[in-house]
Amino acid sequence: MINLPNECILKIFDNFKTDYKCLYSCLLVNRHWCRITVPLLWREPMNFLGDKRLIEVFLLTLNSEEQSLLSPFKLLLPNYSKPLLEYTSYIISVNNHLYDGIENWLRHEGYYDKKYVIVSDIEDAIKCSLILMFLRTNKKLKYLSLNGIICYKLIFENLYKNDTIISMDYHFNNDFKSSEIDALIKILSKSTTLTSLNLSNNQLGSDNGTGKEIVFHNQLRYKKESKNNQFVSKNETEYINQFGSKDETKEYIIFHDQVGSENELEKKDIDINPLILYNNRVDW
Amino acid sequence: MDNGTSNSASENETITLKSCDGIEFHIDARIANRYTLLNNWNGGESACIPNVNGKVLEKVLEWCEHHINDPQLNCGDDDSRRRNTIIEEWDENFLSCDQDMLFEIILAANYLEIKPLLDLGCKTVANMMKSKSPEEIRSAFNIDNDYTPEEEEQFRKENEWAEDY
Repeated sequence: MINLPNECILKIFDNFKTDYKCLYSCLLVNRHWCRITVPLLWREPMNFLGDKRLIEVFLLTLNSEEQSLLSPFKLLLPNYSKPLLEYTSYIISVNNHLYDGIENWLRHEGYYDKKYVIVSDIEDAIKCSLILMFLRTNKKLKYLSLNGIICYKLIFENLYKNDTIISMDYHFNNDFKSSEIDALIKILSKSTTLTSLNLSNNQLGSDNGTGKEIVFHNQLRYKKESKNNQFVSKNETEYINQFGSKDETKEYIIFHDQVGSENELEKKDIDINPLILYNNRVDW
Repeated sequence: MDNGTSNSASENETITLKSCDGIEFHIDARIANRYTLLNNWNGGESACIPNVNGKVLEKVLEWCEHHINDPQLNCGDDDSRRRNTIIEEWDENFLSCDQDMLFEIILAANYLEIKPLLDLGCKTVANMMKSKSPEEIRSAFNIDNDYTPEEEEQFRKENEWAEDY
């Protein structure tokens, strides 16, 4: 085969963008093709993160600090050699399938059958170790889905330092903890890249009624996409008004008791679309 | 060799391109105008194209002539055109040449910045690789396997998830 420059080989492989089987074949042709294929193959394995084989590669990528989070549980981690390449460095998106993958792996390893272990603790420990590993190895991560673990000190510290993530989904586990919101507020205040935050299953302060505000940096830009994404409550418009008058360069989202009407938001001419809240009690 | 003059009624201006091995082609000036790099070389009525030999340049210009009336694509169209794996019959016949020539055409299109031809060539090679095993790809393109057996086995294992999707 005539030696084509890498840019041409990349253009050929570009035709296989979603044909993972074909990329896999190309990867195994020789070392040169492997170097070109791996970034394409591992860029967005979004829907496959639920595959326990990927979880095994991720577990093998953990460093000793990340592994130490798992040591209290005496897990039987895969005992193969370290991966030949740092595949995780190419992933730009970590979605909820990762958590399905962790469950699949634990199920395959029989942990759900062991009555004497608290599997949710193990799940959380694996989630933390893997997310920490992604934040350590990855300089391209743009989308991250987190599942109730933001309060872990190491996760928080790493997210606080992160300057690549532009979109984050946060799923609250069961009870809303004010410490989770505090952590989110701090991360949002610091981040200069995050432009979208999706919250789900939130029960934000519905019991204690204490308002919390999230302050977005003025670098962030939002677009209003549809009426259904707008959300505000009576109390919140007051908060928005109050904070908005202090510093018009920043945008504020206040959320607590989730009862609202879109008209009030329209009147204030405030666009809060990026904060998408599910399962709230909203009067339209 | 006079390879280039188009029969279209609007054609009235020609320029001369010279390949790296000294073969001259008289082509419709609209072809040169259409592709930036050819255009840049066209300071006067003739231009020399280094790095592309006469045999390959002839094929490239044949393709350019056939597509002279194609609509110009915007940058945004580039991606969708590349993802579309269907190749027109004329193009398919045009690229049914020997493998060395196919790669030479890709190289020349890349060098001359003729993007639609580059995409077409890459798409043709991609189609030749589809549904082939690594061994079949190596044999089809005469590529040496420089993995050690252990290395190959480990890459296989670490990436085998992709085989199922």
